[in-house]
Amino acid sequence: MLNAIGKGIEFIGGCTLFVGEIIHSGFRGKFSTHEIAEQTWRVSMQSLSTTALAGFFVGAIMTVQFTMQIQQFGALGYLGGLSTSGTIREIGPLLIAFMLSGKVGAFTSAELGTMKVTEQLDAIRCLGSSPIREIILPRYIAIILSSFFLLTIGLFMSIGGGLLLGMFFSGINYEEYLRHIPTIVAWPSILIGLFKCLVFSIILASICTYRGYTTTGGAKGVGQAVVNTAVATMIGIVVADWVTSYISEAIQNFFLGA
Amino acid sequence: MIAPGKSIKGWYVASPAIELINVSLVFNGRETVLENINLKVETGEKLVVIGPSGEGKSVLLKIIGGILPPTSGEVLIQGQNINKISSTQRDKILRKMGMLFQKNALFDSLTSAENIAFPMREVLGIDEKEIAIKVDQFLEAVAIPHAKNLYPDEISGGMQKRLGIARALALNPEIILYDDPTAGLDPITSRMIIQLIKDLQKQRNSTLVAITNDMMRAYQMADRIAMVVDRELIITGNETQTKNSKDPRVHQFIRGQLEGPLTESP
Repeated sequence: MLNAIGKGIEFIGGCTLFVGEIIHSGFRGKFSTHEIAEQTWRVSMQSLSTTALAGFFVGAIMTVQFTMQIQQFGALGYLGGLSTSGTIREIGPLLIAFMLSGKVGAFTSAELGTMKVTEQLDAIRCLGSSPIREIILPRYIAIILSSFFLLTIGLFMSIGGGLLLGMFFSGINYEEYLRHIPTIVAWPSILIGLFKCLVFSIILASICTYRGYTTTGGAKGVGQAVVNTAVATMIGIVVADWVTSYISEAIQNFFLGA
Repeated sequence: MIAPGKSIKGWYVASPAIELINVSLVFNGRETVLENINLKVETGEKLVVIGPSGEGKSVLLKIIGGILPPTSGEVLIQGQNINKISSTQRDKILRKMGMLFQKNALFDSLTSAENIAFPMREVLGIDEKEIAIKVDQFLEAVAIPHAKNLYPDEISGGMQKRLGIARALALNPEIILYDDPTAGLDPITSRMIIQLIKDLQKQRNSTLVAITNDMMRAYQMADRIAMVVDRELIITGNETQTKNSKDPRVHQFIRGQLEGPLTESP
């Protein structure tokens, strides 16, 4: 138990120092915006279909759940607003983070891990360049940018999924479903969703790049890095969800007095 | 005594290209790989490092190449301690060095031409037209112009070595480090690679440090030979001096004998 805690602390410390190094490298020399654009496109396209599909079904699930709860109070008119608000604040960012963790997180740590064990990262250093600036930084920024893009797609798809289920399962028409979305989905909900998306994507980008960059031991090491990335990102995102929910609630209560 | 790199009354005493002073490397705080290594390699000199597998030859090369910092001691490249200067200065010095890795370490997502262009694009800041011309010249120099648009996994081991050499030379380095340049190659290709290395070294008058366990190739390349064994570095001298070495470990190693101190149980 103590050993696991020690390893956890060591990992968090190492990861934090590594992120500091990434930020420092960004200020130290020019980095390729073309590479960032290319990586952002790759990450977005890699996860677009799964995110869209998952978003659609999340909207559908939320609608079914809310229908069962609010039908007895005769408040079905609020279905669209409640379902969308819940998706934006909570499920949307969490879903995107999990999707990215499974696809992009694993891919990035495997890619960087392979580059590490085949000495490609050492070769970049040996050529008088920084592997962190040339390879890690573009991927790090790309994961964060893609998260926002995928969140937007996922949300629109969830509204679509919710709307479809609302019409066929709950029996309300689309005008009624959409009417209360702007009134219930207030700016704080959108800001909280974006804040969570930012925090989750930073956690994911930090863990997968750090695990990939510190890979040792050949093919087995790469496999281990991918597994460790999946476990650490899942735990990190769930913990961060709790923390960000708590902070968001406190800030919202402070400013709005709610 | 005049310090290297200082000018006194118009005379300039050049620093050695590479100098290691009491360099030690300990892995994980307990496994000593190298201990108190002292080495000077003069500009234009060709040093070949030999030694049994797993004794730390590649580690030594990585310390010189700035990839691994030593646990203690100083690594001076052209008189500057690469582990005690700013990272910007360090990058500038590292650009004067080129390295061929044992397994080539080619960028597998880039074509042969892009592998050579990569350091030029990142470091030299020259336009694409000039890069394309230089890439063609390098591919010609290592005799693989036909592999220009092929990826590393689409070319043979010998061609990968040639590509690795071309990439190592892309920034016109003054010091070139070769980690076992003939590993895994057939004797004819090995000989061709060694000839290529010698020709390129002669053209550029660069300083060369190479690792090999093939004694014939070592004698072909070296002005001086050194051996890494038992965590220390033994300078054995030129071909004749190496062959006549009184050290039983050197004697056993260069003759490939089964009996001797290197194969005795501890």
